[in-house]
Amino acid sequence: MALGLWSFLQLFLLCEVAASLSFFHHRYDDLVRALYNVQNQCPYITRVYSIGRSVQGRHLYVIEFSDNPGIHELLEPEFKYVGNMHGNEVLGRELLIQLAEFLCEEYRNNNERVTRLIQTTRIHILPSMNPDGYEVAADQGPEGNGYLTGRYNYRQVDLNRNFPDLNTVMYYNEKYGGPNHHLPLPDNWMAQVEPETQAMIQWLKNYNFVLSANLHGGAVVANYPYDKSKEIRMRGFTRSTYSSTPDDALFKELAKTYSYAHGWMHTGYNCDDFFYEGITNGASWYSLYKGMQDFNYLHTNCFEITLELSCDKFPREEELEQEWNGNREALLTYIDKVHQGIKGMITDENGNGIANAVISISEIAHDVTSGIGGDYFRLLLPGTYEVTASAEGYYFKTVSATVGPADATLVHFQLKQQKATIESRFLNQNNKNYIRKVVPRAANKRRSS
Amino acid sequence: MSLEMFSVLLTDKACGFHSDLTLKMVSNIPWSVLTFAWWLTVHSWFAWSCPDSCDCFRRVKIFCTSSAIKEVPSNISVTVTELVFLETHIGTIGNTTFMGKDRLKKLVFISNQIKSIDVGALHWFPKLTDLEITANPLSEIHPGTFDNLPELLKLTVTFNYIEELPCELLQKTQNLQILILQGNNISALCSEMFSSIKNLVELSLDSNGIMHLPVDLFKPLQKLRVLKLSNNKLSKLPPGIFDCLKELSELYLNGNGLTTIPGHTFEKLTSLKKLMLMSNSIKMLSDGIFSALVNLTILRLDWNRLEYLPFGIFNETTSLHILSINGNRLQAIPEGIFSRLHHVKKLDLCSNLLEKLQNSTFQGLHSLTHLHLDNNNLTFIENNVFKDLNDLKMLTLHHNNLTTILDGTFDPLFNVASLVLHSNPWLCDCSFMYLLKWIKENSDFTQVSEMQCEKPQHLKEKALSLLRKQDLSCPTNTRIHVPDIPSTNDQRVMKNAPLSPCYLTTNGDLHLTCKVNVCKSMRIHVSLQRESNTTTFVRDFGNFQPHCTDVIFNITIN
Repeated sequence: MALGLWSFLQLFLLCEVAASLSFFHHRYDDLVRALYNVQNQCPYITRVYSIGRSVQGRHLYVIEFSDNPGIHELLEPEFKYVGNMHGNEVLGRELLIQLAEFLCEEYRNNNERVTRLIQTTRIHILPSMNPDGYEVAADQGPEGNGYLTGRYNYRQVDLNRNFPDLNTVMYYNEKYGGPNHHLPLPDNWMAQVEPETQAMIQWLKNYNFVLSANLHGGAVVANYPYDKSKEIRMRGFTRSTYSSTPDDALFKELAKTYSYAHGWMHTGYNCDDFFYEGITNGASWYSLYKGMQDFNYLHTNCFEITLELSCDKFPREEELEQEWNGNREALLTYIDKVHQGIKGMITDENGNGIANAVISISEIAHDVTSGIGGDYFRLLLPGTYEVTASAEGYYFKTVSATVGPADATLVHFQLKQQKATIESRFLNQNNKNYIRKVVPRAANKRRSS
Repeated sequence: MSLEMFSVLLTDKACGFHSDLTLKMVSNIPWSVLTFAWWLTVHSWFAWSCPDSCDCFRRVKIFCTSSAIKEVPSNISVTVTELVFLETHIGTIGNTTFMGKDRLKKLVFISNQIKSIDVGALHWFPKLTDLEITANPLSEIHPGTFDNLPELLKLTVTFNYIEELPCELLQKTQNLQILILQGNNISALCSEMFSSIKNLVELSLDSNGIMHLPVDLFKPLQKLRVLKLSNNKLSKLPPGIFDCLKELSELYLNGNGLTTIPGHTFEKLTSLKKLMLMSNSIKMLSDGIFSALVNLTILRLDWNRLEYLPFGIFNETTSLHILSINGNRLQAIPEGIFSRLHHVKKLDLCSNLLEKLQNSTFQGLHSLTHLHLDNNNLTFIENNVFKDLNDLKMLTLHHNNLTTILDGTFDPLFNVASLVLHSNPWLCDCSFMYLLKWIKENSDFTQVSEMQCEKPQHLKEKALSLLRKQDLSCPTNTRIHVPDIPSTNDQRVMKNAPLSPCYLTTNGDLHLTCKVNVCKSMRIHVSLQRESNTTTFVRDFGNFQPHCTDVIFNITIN
């Protein structure tokens, strides 16, 4: 009986696989061709651009979906997916190519949900952040792929250990006071990081991303910040302890959004491991230092989680379709989450947008800032919050806002200019330094109990 | 330097292993030969250079992605196996451009400025398996262009301006498995176009201007698995056009002007798993049109003009997983039409003109997880309609004309995780108690925020989330005896007689509206009981003979 059922299942799987020709491992040129193919099929809603090059000179191509590609529309949030940061963790790369093809095809098929998503969101998809490492891994293929073959970039650097460490600064600030967001980079950061990392950081600076996920493999779990443990190292060994961000509840919800919309992640039992509800705090799993996820949160407005999507880092081609079916809904639902919370315009008395204004939420010691046009986005769980907007040279303003389960609540701020002081009279309004020089709210000091 | 020492050095540099073995082998070779070999190795290493503005990988893969490139670089190594030109300004490919590049396996041109390709330009590649020419202003392909590509497996010529394909273009590419011709301006194809490519597995003619298909066009393609014909101008399909495609698994016919489909069109496609017929103008489908499609898992008929579905249309398609008939003009669903579709997980009937759902409508859909019924004209749902849908996770009923949900209707939905009910003219009276209770108990997944009452007047536009049980006035304290009500369709009228039951307004008025069929005379008896005092009011109404008539009466007490 059991045998019969098993062979039936296998037959079923084979049939499913036999039906599809579009699921295969895309080498660099296949990836480029796939992205350009989508761009040609959906020219009015897509754009392909490169954010930089790998060590060996491969482009880091991004495909963008928007009703106005190439343009940031005010109040339309920016979302990103990043895949294949570790060259040998390839499922994310393939899923993101499938996602791009799916969004285009369903848009052409008048799919209401996809159309609405593209009209209200600007989605950036980077299928491979480490194209050099991928080629090394792909040369070996799925069979007998070593655990680490192709993981690193061409210079043997782990890109997810290559970002400037801002956690140390943040944990210090939490104890002794200091900025709680947009922590500055060291002056020589460019010299410290790999070309792929540099391209990523530059990308993060150029776009005001709101939400992101970084697709990995080797486990099946949605991992949220912080990745780096707050515990002090003992004899060179960092213990795994839950290290929460001020947005812990929100991050948990974001992670759960993915795990529950995923075919089997939420069950928790995967790859001989167990994660309750299919999610985990990064540091409570294992502490990780100089990772990209924490960097997003500490240096930008972007909230990023890390998705571990397959037990096998390099799954066989026949498994790709099933993986896509398990992830498709989750990939879409997670993008929808970019619309949760509050958003609005920060303007001066003449209605001009104020860039880099600081938006603070009482009780949450992590501020966000407004973009170049003066629009801001603050992801929040449903509830009522006190929201404060402040900008250098303006009187701050506090309002109460209620967040529902669906679309973002609009909360606009019109700030009144402070009377000119001797100091500020010398400053040019258009000077970038002037606008950037916003004194951030102090991080909540951790209470010593 | 001794000979032995040198040869060790040489082999170490060239291969980096087996130096002992090589040492033995080379020690017998004369000095001059060895020098020559060394010179060759070193010379070819230094002579090899990557063309300007191109990226080279392991000396065999070359990517040229710069608008500074105006023509194919002349110093491309003969060792190259993969060559990609992306967003360059190359305008023509001449007969000798690729002379000597006989190791090439993959050649790709995307978004260049190529206007012409000479007939012999691609005749240098005995090993080429993959050729792509995409998004170039290329309007013509000469006969014979692909004649010398014996190993070609995949040919992609997409998003150019090609209007016509020479009939004999593919005569010599006999190993071709994938042919993608999407996004050109091809309006017609010769009948023998595909006669030599019998191994073809995938064919895309998507987004061209094809108006007619020759009857024998697909006859040779007995191994074809995927056929994409969407977004052309096919107003009809010739009878028997797909009859030889025994292996066909996916067929795309979206966005053509199809008005009808001959009944036997799909009768030989027993392997078909995916059939896409969206965005056509199909008005009706014959009863047995899908009867051969026993393996069909996905059927999409969205955005057509279907007014009804023949009763037996889904009798044989028992493997279906997804059935989508969104955006048609269906007014009713024949009873039991889905009863054999035990595997369907998603059923989409949005944006039709459906008026009611009967208990038998969704009978048999045991695996259903997603049911979309929004944007119809639904006024009435029988209370056992969802009884088989125990696995349902999502149900959408928004933008209909529903006034109430009968007791027990949602009880079988144990697993529902999302229920959308807003934009209906809800009647918030006593009959609404069941839905209100259900919503309150399941508020975590019912999108209640946008739901509001339409009637009665004093609750109009009241948000359901603020509605309390005590707001729903009920006729239970008002006894209404109506002696003889002739049969009527609405069971609620049968039981209770009131057209709209009593409700108490906020300013203390009591309204009662009833509709009854009266034959002789009518007496209205109202008694008001306050503590121990009872006030009675009786009023007789006159002679209704000789005919029985419907009478509507309103009582207002204030």
